[in-house]
Amino acid sequence: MKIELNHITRIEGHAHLVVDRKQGEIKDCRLEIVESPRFFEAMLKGRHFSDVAPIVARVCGVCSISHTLASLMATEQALGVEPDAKARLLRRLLSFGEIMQSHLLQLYFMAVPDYLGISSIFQLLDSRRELVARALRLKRTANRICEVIGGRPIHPVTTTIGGFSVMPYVSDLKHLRQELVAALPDLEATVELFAGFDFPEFERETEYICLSDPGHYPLHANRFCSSSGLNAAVTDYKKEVEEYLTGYSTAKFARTARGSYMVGPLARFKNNFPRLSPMARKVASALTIDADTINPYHSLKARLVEVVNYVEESIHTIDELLLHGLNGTKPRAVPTGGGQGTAAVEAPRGLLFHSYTYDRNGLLDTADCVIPTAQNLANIETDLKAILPELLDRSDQELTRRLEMLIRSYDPCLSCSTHLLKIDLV
Amino acid sequence: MSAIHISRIIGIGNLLMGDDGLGVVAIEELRRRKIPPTIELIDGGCGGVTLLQILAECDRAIIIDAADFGKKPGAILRYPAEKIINSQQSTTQASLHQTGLAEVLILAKKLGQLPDLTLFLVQPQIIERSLELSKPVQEALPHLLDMLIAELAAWPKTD
Repeated sequence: MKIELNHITRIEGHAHLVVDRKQGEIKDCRLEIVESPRFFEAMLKGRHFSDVAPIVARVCGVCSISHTLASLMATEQALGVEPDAKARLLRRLLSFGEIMQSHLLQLYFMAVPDYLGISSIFQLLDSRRELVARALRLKRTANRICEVIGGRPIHPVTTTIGGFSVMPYVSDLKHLRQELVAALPDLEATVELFAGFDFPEFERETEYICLSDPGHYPLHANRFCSSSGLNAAVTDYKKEVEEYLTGYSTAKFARTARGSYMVGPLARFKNNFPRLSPMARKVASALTIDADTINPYHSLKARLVEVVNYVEESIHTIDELLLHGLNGTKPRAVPTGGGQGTAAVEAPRGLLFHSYTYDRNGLLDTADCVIPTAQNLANIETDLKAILPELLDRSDQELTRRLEMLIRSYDPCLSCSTHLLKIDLV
Repeated sequence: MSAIHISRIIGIGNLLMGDDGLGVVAIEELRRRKIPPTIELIDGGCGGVTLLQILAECDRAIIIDAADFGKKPGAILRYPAEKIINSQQSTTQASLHQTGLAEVLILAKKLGQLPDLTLFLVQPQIIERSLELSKPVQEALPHLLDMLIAELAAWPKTD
């Protein structure tokens, strides 16, 4: 018999999976991605470098900050512009805000229903209102970071080539710091909630890839590394990562010479455990997860550990900004002309590459973008194939649930394009 | 009756998907018109659940968005939020997949965070990868702006 999972819910986009139970195999695994490189290039070709990041910011509603920052950094590299230390700190803070926004949404809205055995967080509005209120309070705090630094909760407007066009107010930063400290009890309650969940047991080792920043838990860096010994410059990403098409999917997959790989919270966590904040490491221990885990369902735990880590890092970053003051930070003068630039950031779902060439008039000639979900697709599929034999004795319902949970653990972002409202007028 | 403090006009949608971006374009156009400074104009982009916060923080709002209500492209529909909540509640309760406008409105209502809200919806022609609005939607835009300004004129003055 065949089981079809159409429109797998609680992921950002559409996915379609066909399982042939009798043969014990995955027949079709289709995950639709909108941000295809071809569309990306067509959208940007011929644009002036100053227009590129604002357009790119609209590619995605969930990770608009990551796209914006990767885009700005690639353009800066092409033009030979280097932002100063304060701008780099503000960009870090902005990334923390976005990753927290995205992680909290995934944890509470997408994952909590799985582990509480309900279909939607809506069902908790009456029975566990405090849980929903807490989720939204935490999300609001993350939104506030993006608002104070980026000028608004999504699609930032203050970021520019060379730095920031508008600096945050000191009073807003101080207030933001208070809000972050005040979020700690809600985080504790979240850890308690997730520590009580029963995570499926499944182990499969893969290659874990993330940026490499010796001083920090990785966020913005020039090199990337893996658990299998990869250590390369971001500018060489095309030598290390090959994108390819399969016959049955419209999306591009990615692999290294060694095969499929994972990017995202679990990869970052595993490769950088000692660089986590002390509080985040404590949370990891409470969630019974360490750097040796090879269970993809544990991506959820890694996500929560990261939220705690980023709250702590945000507080320290604000302290550093307040200590040194925000005066005198102006975007560097941007030269005219063109060049070639490649940059990568750790987006909520993992490694994100942007690479551009500009002609001598500063107009975009080529653009390439490799998104985290595209890099995870082959790994999701390999996981599904590996777990299926373990689930064949389960009921259809349970088998479906486990496979969906596995896909959701990667938090795939497949389409951030449109959410068109439909109304039947009667 | 308590005084109304914060009023917002929020345009939502994706600028890269043709007519889906009309809400955001309308906000940019409104910035060029004479809108009372007490009314905040917000480019809501495709922020999903983030819209909940934007709504929760105000007392009165208008949302501008593209919607399929089965009319000619460019048709404009003024629609009270309550009507969407009542009509879509049963169908969306099951899942929160792709947090769309209806889901956010239902969530806001259930949490008691829904402001006095009216929607201005425009029937799109093209929802595909494009940075341009279609001709019928472009032509509808001035009418939409006039309707919005007339709506604002009917709002009671803020303190």
